[in-house]
Amino acid sequence: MITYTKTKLKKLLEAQNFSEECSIHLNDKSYVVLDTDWLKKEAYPAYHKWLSFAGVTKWRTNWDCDNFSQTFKTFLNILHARENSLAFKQTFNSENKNATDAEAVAVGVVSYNNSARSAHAINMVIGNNDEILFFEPDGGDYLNLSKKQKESIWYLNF
Amino acid sequence: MVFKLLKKILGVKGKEDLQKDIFIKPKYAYNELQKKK
Repeated sequence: MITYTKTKLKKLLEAQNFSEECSIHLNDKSYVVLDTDWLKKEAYPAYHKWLSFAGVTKWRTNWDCDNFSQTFKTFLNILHARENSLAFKQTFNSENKNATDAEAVAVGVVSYNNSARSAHAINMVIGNNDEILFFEPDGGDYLNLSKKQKESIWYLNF
Repeated sequence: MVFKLLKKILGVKGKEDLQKDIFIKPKYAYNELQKKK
């Protein structure tokens, strides 16, 4: 599995030409990369079903882009935690092991300016070979951000 | 038993089925070297 330490991920993010004031928050010590096709084709529909239970599949002012991006990140981490459910005590000196002990999935929340007057929040997905992808969780597609939009990124949270 | 049969006929999903649809197994990425192993 492809795994990033906090330091390696920080280096990768800092090497991008994001806004000089970009605030980067890395909350975990290690991150595992998800299969990017699976994320779109299987994880996103499951996330949508999860939201439908709560009746919050549609955009509204109190359920908007920051809520979609934060919950999609959380949903993927729920799947990861369920799959690797053994606590340290259960694996120490034992043959029982998790598939991975990475503390989180390599999916973050990113905020950028999509015009002079408005900002938008989506997900940043780390793929193979240090690839950085952008995913719109209110719709379920990967996005191409313009150079200007990438340079405007002012918030990142993994 | 009757309830279970009715649910099957009507295609109504129970809590466990829905949980299986939502909380799916994650698929992780591997680099080329790891794939060959």
